[in-house]
Amino acid sequence: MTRRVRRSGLTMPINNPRFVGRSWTRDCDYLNFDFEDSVPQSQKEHARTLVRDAIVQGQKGAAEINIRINCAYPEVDVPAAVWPGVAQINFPKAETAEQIRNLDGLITRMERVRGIRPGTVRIGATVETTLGVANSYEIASASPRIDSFGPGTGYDMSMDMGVEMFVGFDQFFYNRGEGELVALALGLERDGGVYMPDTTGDVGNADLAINRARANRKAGLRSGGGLHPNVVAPQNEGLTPTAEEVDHAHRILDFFAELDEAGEVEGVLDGQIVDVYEAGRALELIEWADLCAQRDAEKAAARAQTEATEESSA
Amino acid sequence: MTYTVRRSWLIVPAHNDEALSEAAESGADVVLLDLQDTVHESRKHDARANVRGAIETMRDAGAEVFVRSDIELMYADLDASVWRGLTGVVLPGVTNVEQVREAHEILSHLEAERGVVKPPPVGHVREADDPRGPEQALEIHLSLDTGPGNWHAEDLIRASDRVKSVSLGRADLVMDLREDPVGDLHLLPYLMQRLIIIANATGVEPVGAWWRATSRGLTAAYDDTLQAALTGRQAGFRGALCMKANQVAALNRGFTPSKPEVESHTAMSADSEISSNVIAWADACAARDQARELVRGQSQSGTD
Repeated sequence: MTRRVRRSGLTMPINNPRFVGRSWTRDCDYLNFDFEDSVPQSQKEHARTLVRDAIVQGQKGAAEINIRINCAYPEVDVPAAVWPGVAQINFPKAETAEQIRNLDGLITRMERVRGIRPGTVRIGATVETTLGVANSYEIASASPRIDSFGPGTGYDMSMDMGVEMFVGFDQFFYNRGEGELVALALGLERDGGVYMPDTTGDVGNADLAINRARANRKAGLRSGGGLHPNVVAPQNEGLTPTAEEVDHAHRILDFFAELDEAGEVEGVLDGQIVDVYEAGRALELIEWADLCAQRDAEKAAARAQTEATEESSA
Repeated sequence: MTYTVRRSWLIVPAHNDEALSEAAESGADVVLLDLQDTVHESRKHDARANVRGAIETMRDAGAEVFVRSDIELMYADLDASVWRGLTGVVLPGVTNVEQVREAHEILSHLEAERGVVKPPPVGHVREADDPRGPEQALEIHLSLDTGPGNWHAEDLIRASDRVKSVSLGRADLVMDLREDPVGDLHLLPYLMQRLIIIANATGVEPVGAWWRATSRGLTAAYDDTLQAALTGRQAGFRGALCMKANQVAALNRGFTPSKPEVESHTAMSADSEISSNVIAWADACAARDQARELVRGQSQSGTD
């Protein structure tokens, strides 16, 4: 399975036609159409009828389509959510392995009914409660559909822990460690982010977003996401290696190849130690940059085609 | 409380004679002869061939000796290493209990075949007619540098009674955990604290220093190493691995309670177990330093 590029993604209520209709213009790597917290109870049933249209809208910009369901109603949400074109079902407030196994079973059934190849639809299990943190390993290993995992932080987690958000220190220190270690232990892509001091809680701050994205990439994290269109471009940029970094990575690989040829395991290039670990890191950077470029090209081509079609029909 | 003092564990490539000489002079409590990361594939044979002689050299320099084995080449590495004077082996990259059990079995087999036992503490002499006991079994140190290794740490430690100490090894490099915005190596504070908890819960020694972003892969300048040791001691470590000979003095100093510390604890020791422990640890460190000098003096006069 190729590594997925999920640098940016907007979560939006699926029952808001204005948001959904413009979603393809946002340049998101993925779109997370929501059945859950952003949809009022009275609209849930209506929301379940909107998935096929949302897929069409999102795919105009080649975004990967995700549907966030309600953890309380997987039996009705999954049949409404799993259609060809949906890449991932996001399961919020995951607390037990049993929930994930149940979800996996429901998805398996709908893949069969709708003619989707088995195993196509991924599960994004989001930990947002203390019980979820405690059961992280069991949750993350409960289904092969899970290919990424991250720590429980954020609004719901704060409520469950009885703490305020944006207090100026890392009150999710343990959660971060546990979530990322579970991902590392199971060989999954690490979601989540490094701690950065932030007492504003501003979800639309582009400067904060790019600094955070760069810091995350430096620490080995590759995924982003948010609520405000302002953060999409900063996340795409901050989580993509620069051309200079790619050049430098090639130089590291060349230098390491010379070292290896000479029977050495370590050397210094531009004041920096180069060894098997730096070579591995450089190779990963180059591969990641290629995947990002590929993703950007797909998105640009889809948008250009959509714009051309809409112009000719106008 | 009796302590085995291992403040500094210096990793040295076993094929590199210059580095070996430097290590012998470094004052390290433990010299860790490396057959893994620092040895190129084409030099593995030379490195293994050097181990037996190097063990003797390091013992004569007053150090305990461990060998770091490549987990994939474990049999050949241990076969080259189980000789008189060896205290134990370091296993990096461990991910499952079968690997620990395999190392245990190989060590048992080689000990029996070669009549090797763990040597007494540096400066002590074992009498020929001393009975052999389980405490003389060669040790295993687990360098838990992978995700699975850390997650399953407790099971891995319990997989063999030879496991007496654990560290994160070069986890920052193996898992690619680099600098975060507050200057830590990403996840390392969590992983260090978790290791300390699990080690104490299972009765083994946690080995490490409070390395920060300036300490890539266990290499750091003297001052950063000293700070890592001082903070590390406060966090629950009593010794750490390092890659450069000039880090040894910083680790020995940072992990040894200072004179003013000992004095202030002496004033409190009557009613504080913590203070008594600090004093006992300081005494053990002093005794370890004396033992090194004693052994060096004897080795010197033996060669004169």
